[in-house]
Amino acid sequence: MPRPGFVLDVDNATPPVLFWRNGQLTTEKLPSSSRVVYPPEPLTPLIDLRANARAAIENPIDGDPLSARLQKGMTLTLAVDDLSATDRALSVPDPRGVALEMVLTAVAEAGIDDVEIVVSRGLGRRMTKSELAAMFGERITDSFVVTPLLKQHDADDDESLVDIGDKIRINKRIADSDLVVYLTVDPSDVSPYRNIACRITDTATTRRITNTSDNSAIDAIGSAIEKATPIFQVAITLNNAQFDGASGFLQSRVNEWRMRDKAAFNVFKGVLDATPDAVRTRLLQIPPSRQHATGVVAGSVAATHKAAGALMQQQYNVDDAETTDVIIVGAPPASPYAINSILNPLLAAHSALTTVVPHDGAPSFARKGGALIIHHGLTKQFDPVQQPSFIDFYDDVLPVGSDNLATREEAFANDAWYAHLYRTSYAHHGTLPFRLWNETERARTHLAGIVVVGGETNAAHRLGFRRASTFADALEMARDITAVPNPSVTHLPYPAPRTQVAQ
Amino acid sequence: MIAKRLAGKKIAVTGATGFLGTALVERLLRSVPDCEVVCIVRPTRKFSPMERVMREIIRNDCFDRLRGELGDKFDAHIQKHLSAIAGDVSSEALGLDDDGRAVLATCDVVIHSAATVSFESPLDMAVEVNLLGPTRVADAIRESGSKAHLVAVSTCYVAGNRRGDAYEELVTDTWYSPEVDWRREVTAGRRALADAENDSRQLERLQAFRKQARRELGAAGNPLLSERTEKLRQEWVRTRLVEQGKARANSLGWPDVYAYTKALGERALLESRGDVPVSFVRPSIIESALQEPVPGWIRGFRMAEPILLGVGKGLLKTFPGAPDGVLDVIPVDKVVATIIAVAALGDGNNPSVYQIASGTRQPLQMRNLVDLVTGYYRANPLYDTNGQPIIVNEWQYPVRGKVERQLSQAIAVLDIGERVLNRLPVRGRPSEFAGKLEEQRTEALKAQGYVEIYSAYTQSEARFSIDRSLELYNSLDEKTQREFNFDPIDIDWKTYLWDIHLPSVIAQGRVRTTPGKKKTVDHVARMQKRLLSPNNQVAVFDLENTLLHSNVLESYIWLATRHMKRRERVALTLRKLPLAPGLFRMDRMDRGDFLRTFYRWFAGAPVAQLQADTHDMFNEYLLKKCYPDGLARIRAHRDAGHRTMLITGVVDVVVEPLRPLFDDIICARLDHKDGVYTGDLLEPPPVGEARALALKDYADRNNIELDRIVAYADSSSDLPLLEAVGNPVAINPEPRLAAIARRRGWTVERWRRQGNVPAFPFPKYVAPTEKTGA
Repeated sequence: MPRPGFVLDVDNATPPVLFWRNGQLTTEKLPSSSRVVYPPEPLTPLIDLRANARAAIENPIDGDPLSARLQKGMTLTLAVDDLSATDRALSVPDPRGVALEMVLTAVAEAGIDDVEIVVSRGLGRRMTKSELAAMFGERITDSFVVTPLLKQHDADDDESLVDIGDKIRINKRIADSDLVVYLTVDPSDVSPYRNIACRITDTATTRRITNTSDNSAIDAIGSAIEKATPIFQVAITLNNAQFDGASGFLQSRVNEWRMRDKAAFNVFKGVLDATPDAVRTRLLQIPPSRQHATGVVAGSVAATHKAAGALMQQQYNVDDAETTDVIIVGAPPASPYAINSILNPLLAAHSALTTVVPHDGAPSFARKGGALIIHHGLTKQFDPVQQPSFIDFYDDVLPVGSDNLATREEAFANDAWYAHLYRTSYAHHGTLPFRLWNETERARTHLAGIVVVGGETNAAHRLGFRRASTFADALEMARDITAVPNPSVTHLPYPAPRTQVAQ
Repeated sequence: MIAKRLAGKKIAVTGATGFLGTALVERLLRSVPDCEVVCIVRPTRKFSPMERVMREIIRNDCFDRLRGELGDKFDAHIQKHLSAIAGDVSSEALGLDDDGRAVLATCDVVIHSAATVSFESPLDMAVEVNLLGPTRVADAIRESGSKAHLVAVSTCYVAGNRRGDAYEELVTDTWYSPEVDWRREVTAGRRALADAENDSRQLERLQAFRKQARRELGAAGNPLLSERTEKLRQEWVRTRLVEQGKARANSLGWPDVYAYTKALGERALLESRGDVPVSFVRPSIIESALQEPVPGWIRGFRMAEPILLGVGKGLLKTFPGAPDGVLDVIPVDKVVATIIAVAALGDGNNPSVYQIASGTRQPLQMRNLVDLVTGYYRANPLYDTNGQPIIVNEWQYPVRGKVERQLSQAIAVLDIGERVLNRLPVRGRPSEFAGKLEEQRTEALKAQGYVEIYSAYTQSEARFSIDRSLELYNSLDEKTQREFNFDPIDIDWKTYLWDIHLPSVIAQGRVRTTPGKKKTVDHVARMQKRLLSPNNQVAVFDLENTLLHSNVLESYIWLATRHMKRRERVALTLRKLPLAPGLFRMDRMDRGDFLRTFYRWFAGAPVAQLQADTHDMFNEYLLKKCYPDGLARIRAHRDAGHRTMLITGVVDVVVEPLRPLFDDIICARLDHKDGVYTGDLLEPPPVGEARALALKDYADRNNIELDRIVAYADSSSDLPLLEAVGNPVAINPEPRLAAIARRRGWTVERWRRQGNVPAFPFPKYVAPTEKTGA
């Protein structure tokens, strides 16, 4: 039985805690009387995901079972969240592929011919063939990817988009379908409709809602889509097991480290330190996440979101009544937009900031006017294939400031080269950096100051952060920022916990 | 007294565009207000004699003083007192036309100051100008029927490598001056030119020039190679004539071809002058002005300047010459005053010599000079490119041979370094190192040149007597003496060097005299602004190593091995590996041949398959090898409203994915038949000069000026392209191009790759039957 979340009060006897630093590992002694909030331990995964998936689609939370909704001759579309649904690629077999196979079995039994898969990627990049093969498994790949009955949603392709009123344009195949089975993973957002509203709509619609943390706007668009085309949602929840086995120490509680963990830490650290930057980023992508399904639910979008949300809370929530003055995080070693790629400074900042202050309005561990210390050296490193617009955003847009962000975003949205790469290559959409930057807005206003430890000074300043050369300096600066002589300090490890405090 | 004597007189001047000539014309126009000056200048193709005078003499800052004094009346004054006729000292009787002769006929004085003063003049040129020049002037005077007094400017050093006193005597009367038949020397000089021209066209020579041109330019294409080859040949002829001149001069006891031809020129003039009145003025080493028109005025780089700057820059730590030796320097205004005094008062019917030098009356000893110069630089250091002051070393007085030996050793080492580097396949920063090597070599060569040439002067132990000049000076009344002061006694060498000469030399040399690092950001921004200026119309890009850190070979390996299992891959690599050196060599010689050979390997590839594969290759491989700076620059050009264009020898099917970035693509095109590539190209690939031609055609068709095109390329084979356009930019240049770009002041940019890039171009295995999709 996994243990629930745990708040470690740091005293002199507490060993230094682990930080991820730009793909490397480091430890840092936290000041006494600070706290480390560990999330609950990984929940026990489902033993037979196939059986659970089959049961879920036949016994939905609300409405008719899937088999009752399927009719011969109907147009059916299976929409699946792409890689950017999780921080890291999931290990094979991917729960999405497994659940989809169960859905397809039911579809085959109903004798439906007109079936297509849409990878709902929103503004994210196209998945490569090998990534598709890993996600969907051999059987689906053979019958869908090669034919090709599998399409990756394209938010810029006028021919595959259709207007459903209210200036909402969505994927034409989805709009034309008699039924859409939407497969989602870890729906952690406050609004149940975020995925639907962002991942299968066109660029304009997506930009309208991703630039706001107003969940009612998202709800409105989501329900409009749900009204236009019936959606049967299948939601899979995952545990938070990013690491296990020899690398399990990376997410275990530092005060419980045994000799074996310490040895493993030293080996890992040594290897990572000795590896050149370029190779290390690649190296970190090799072990996939150890996350496994903890539950499958099906039914209407709202109902599945609620049911899945309960499981998510069980996995991530730590009941902690306090909000703190100073939060310390290492930048997570992964980001949904850096899978098989590089964690560029913008993505690193985005991950850190949205972990501490979620962009969708969920509560934060940090008090308003608090300070954030990111223990991560930002280095200017980008993936030329996946992140071309990030390079230009970082070089041309950020230094100028946020005054004409909207006009610049418009220019990026209309940029033919970005569009070309987004549509035919493996690049994120030209406007994605703007969306991510906007998502950090809430954190930047919530917090009074953000300090980065180490890394390139220019990178920190460009993102509007302050830079400290040592951890001790950063604490000193945080004290100034919060204007509290003895600020309360909380460290959030990776994977991070979530809190319900404000609600 | 002088002004009165010359009032109303017409004075012709040759060599007016030179350092001494400019000062002379200015002085005459300013201090002898009632005279008329006629400049005898060589007309050029572009400018008439008077236009040349206005551009090259009147515009010089020498005239600032007169312009200030006269104000609005300056132009009228010049109009009234200055005229020009066409004449060339290297033509018989100056090649005067009837008008010229008519003007010359009315002249009262002719001052001949035209000379090739370089100690490195080729023999033939020195003979034509320095040896025959004075005689030709005299001929012209005689033929025009003029009774003008010819004042010929010569040099003290006609005395040769003499130790001890050198008197103001005609060369014909000087016991130590060698008796040489000047006519024979002229014939020999002309024959030397013909022989050298002949020799340079020998088979082996021409082959060697061609080889060297290729080594310098690589596969830059025929027109450029030929141009360079011919230039090398001409340089060879020149060098040989320079060497011959020096050898002949030395053999007769003169330090260099200048003194030798000047001495024979005096002899020739004396022999052929007939009844033309002649006087000689012999200055020593002329340097910047002491007083007139302004202290420190100097024109062009004179002989001692490079040495003085070399000391300040820390390049020269030593120079041959004994501490007790005397360097005979004389300010230009003293020389001008002497010439004018001789013109006014001299009696040409009994030719006499007036020397003007400082060595006997106010000697500047080497020891003193060195102390003053090093002392000045210690007090006012120059700064290096990092804004750090340059420390001047303790001076040494070595023997002559040692310095030369050290320098030749240094040059040999740098030479080897540069050759090795040129052969290595390096780019970017290392190749800029090659540029630095070359710069150091040039500096060392220069230093070697100085030592060779000037050591004759620093080591000269001749003492030039100026008794007759002083006698002339003393005969002047006090007012005239003040006005035309040519007594060297009033030169205070410390004041002259510290306050006048060195500051003037440093200002002319454009060296840094302020500390602090330059802000490079401004430079980059300015450069980008210039390239992206709306004035430009088209931006042309090369592909390999300019936009992509990759080459056709890597692309081929990627494509060829995509559908291969490991064993086959190894087999293919082993099969192709022995071909690599040959291909590499071919690439250096002729890129077109290289590409043709190479594209034959594509024979038999199915079109559809290759198209699908290249699409994947672009996304999975080439994009990672792109320079993001390059892509950003293309887009910036588009934003600036420029057309963008790709010129590459890479085949169409590979560059296809880049099409959205470019308005036009000129590339190699593979022929195909029945859905299979034949391995032939449809037309010659656009490489070397073909690129320049293609671009010119394109510009003509679209009514675009070549000056308004920006071109980006990386290698010397792109030289014709870069030369053709108005804004060439070298991107991560290979050493040869880096050297060329550096010499020509082209923009050089370093573009960096981004992110983690696969080390070797082996793709993930994909089954050959696969259809494209997703």
